[in-house]
Amino acid sequence: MFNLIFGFVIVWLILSSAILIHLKIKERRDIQQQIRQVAQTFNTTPELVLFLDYTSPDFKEIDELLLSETPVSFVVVFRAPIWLIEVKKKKWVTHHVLSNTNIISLLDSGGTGTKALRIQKEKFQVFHEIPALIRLTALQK
Amino acid sequence: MASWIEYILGLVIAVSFFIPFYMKLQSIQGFRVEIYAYKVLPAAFLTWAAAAILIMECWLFICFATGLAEGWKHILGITLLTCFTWLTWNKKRKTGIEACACFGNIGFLNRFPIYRNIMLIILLLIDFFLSGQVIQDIYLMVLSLALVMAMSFSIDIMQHIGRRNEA
Repeated sequence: MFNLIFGFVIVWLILSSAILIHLKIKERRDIQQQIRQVAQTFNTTPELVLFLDYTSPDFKEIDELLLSETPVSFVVVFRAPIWLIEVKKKKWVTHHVLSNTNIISLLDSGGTGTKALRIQKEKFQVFHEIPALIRLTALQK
Repeated sequence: MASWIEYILGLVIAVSFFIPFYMKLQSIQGFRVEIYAYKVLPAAFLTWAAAAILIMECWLFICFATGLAEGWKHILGITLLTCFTWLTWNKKRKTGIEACACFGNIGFLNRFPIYRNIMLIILLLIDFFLSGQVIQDIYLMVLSLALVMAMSFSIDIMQHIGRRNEA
């Protein structure tokens, strides 16, 4: 009886980790697709990409940081009404603003899709705490 | 009967420490930035803090799954959860944002971190007062560890599928 339960749990563990690895690989592939699209629109692969949704709860704080003079420069893929994108294009002078319409969107935690990517060659890292990332990166420059 | 309830409670608590552990393990850099967002630690300490929290969560996962370290794990678990709750509350007071990414992409566990932590602390207290027998059997310990991991991965998979249906 114990052996049977043991076997069942091990099979369950192997199956669930295989499915999870598959899902994670797919997720990474989707993000790589996004990076490629950004690179195409921008002509080169940027180091920092910010996917920003204007309905995101920390939008106000991020906006203030993007307005201020930081040594950190983002390519901002901005999801917002067209007029707001036009306004912010003029105001976020140290950053490059793109409309999100050219880039496939992916739903992330929280659903708003606000996230930052730090890209190094073929690898990338995902960040969800954008204000902290900007402050920390500025500190290290 | 009581020992079954205790066993299952231990597994549930172990899952709730294992999920945040392996979520953070996938993105250490992201976790460092997350700690920085709480504005309580200078940049130089972030890597140390990240490592310490990961080690504690891993230890708690192992102890609650196997029934080892009775008492000590409850003290550490409750202390850790109280710190997290205080930090979240503090951040909410300053910025108005409560949601965290502590459980990675598992959205339903991230929405109300303060209530979630208080619930967990209550579970830990119940487990502490129930605690009596310790599992002696090494096979049962391995089985419990595997069971906790399988359950955690399954929750993660269900969350992925749920998100895809939303999109």
